[in-house]
Amino acid sequence: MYQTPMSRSNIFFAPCFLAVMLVFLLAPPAALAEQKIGFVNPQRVVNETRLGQSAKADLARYVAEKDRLAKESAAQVATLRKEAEAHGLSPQDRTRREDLLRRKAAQHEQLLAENARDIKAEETKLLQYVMRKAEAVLEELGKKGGYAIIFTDPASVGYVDKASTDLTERVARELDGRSK
Amino acid sequence: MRRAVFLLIFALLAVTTAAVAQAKDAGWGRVYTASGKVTVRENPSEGAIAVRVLKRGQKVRVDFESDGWAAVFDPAETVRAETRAQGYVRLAELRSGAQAEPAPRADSSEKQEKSAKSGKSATSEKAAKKPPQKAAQGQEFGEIRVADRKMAIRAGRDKDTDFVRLLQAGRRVRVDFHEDGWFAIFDPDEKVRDLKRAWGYGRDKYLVPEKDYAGQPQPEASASTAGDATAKSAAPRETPDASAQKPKHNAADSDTVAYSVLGRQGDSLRPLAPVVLRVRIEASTAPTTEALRKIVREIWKAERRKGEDLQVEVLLQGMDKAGLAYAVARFYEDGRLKEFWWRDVVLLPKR
Repeated sequence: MYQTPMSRSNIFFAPCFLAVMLVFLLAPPAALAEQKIGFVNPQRVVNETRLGQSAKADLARYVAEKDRLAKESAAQVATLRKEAEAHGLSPQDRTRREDLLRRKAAQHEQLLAENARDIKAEETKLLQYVMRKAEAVLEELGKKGGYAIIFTDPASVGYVDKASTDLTERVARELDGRSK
Repeated sequence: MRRAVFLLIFALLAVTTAAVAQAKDAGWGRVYTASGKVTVRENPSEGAIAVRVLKRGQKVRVDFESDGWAAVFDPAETVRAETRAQGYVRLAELRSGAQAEPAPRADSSEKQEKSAKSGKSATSEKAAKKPPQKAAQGQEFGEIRVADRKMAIRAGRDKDTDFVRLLQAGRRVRVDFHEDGWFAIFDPDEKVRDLKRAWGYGRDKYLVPEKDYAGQPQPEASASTAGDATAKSAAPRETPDASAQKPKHNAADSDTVAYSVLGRQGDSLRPLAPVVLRVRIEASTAPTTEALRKIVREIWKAERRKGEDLQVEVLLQGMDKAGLAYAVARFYEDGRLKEFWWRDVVLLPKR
C-alpha cells in the first residue's frame, strides 16, 4: 500500500500524542483550574479607545488624500476623453488623442488599484500600532489575572463566555488610562 | 508660377529672419521687477503654500506660463528647467506690480539677463583663472548671499556628493567660484579666497543676494554653531554648542527645524517603489501642518538624489526609530507635494 509522508509521520507521532493526552487527563484538577483563558476583540479595542479612534481618524485622512489623487486622475481622464471625442479632428489627431486617453485610463486604473492596496496596508499598520500598545496591557493583565492564553483572533474562537473570558473592556479602559 | 516662387522665397526669408532673431535672444522667459510684495507659491494654485515673498524692486525671471500662473526663477538662472523654479506666481499679480513701474520690455529684460550673465561668467572665469591667493587685509572676495531656505552644503557640485552641513534659512554666507549652478560657500568673514577653505558647495538658486532676502534674518554665528547641522547621523544630533546657542524655537511656529537622517531604504523587490528616507526632526511637539509641509519639501530638496522617487518620513524626538512615522510625504518629479499625510495616533500614548 502506498503511504504518503504525512501518513507515515502520523503513525510515528501517534504514541506521542496519546502520551500527551494522558498527561492532561491525569494532571491534578487544581493545576488545570489555574489555566485561565481570555479573549480580546481587536476591532472593539480600536472602536472603543481613544487610541483606536485616533488611528481611525488618521486612516480617514489617509483615505481622503488617496481620494483626492484619484479624483485628480479621473478629471484628467475625463478631459482627455472630451478632447478625443471632439468634433472636427483629423484622423491622425484623433488617433493620437485616443492613444493618450488609453494610456491615461490605464494609469488611472493602476492608481486605483495601488490606492486600494496602500489603504489596506495603512489600515494594517495603524491596527498593528494600536494592538502593539494593547499587548503591553494584555501582558500585564495576563500576569496579574493568571491567564495562560489570551486570544485576539475572533475567527479562531468558536464560543466566548463574555462574563469570565472577554477582557476587551478591561483592556480598553486600561489603554485609555495610559494614553491620557 | 513666378509669383508663387517669389512668395515662397519671401516666406522662407521671413522665417529665417525670425529664427535668427530668436537665436540672438539667447535668454529665455522674461525678467520682471516686483513693485510690491508678490507671494511665490509652491504650486500654481491659490491654495498652495507660500514659499517666499518677492520684495519691491526684486527681479525675477518668469517662464512656463499656464492658466495665469508662471514659474519664477533667479534672474541669473541660465538653465530653462521648471525643476529649477523657486515657485509660482500669479502673472496678473506680478504684472500689476510691474505696471506701477516702467513695464519690463523684452529687450530690457534681455539686457538685465545679459548683464547678469556676463557678470556671472566673468566672475566664474576670473575664478577659474585666478589661482588661490591670500587677499589683502580687509579685501573681500565673492559676495555675501543669504540662504532663502534650509539647504544642504555638499562636498561637490552635485546633489549626489556627500552632505557636509545644513544651512538654515536666513544664514549669511560668502559665495564665490560659481560654476554649473553651484557656488563654493565660505564663512561670511572669510578673507582668503581659497577653495580649500570653503565649507562646501551649494545650489545658487537658494542663495539670494542679501538685499533680495525677504525672510527672517538668522543671528550671525560661528561655523560650528547656530542652526547649521554639521553632522548627519542615525542618532539624534547633539552638539552642546548648538543646544546652548540655538534659540529655543517651537516647531509648531517654525519651519526651520534641524533634522537628522535615520535611514534611507529602497525596495529591491519593487524597483518602482519609492526610496524611503526616515528623518528625525528636532522637535518634541508636532509642527503645524503648513510648517510640516514646508519642512518635508526642504528635506526632499536637500536629500533627493538624481531621478530618485524619494518618500520622506518624519519622526519627532522621542519616537521609536523603527516605529510608525509621524508624517509621510511623496513628491512629483518637480518637487511639488504629491501626497502628504500624518498620524496623530503616534503622539497619543505618553511614554
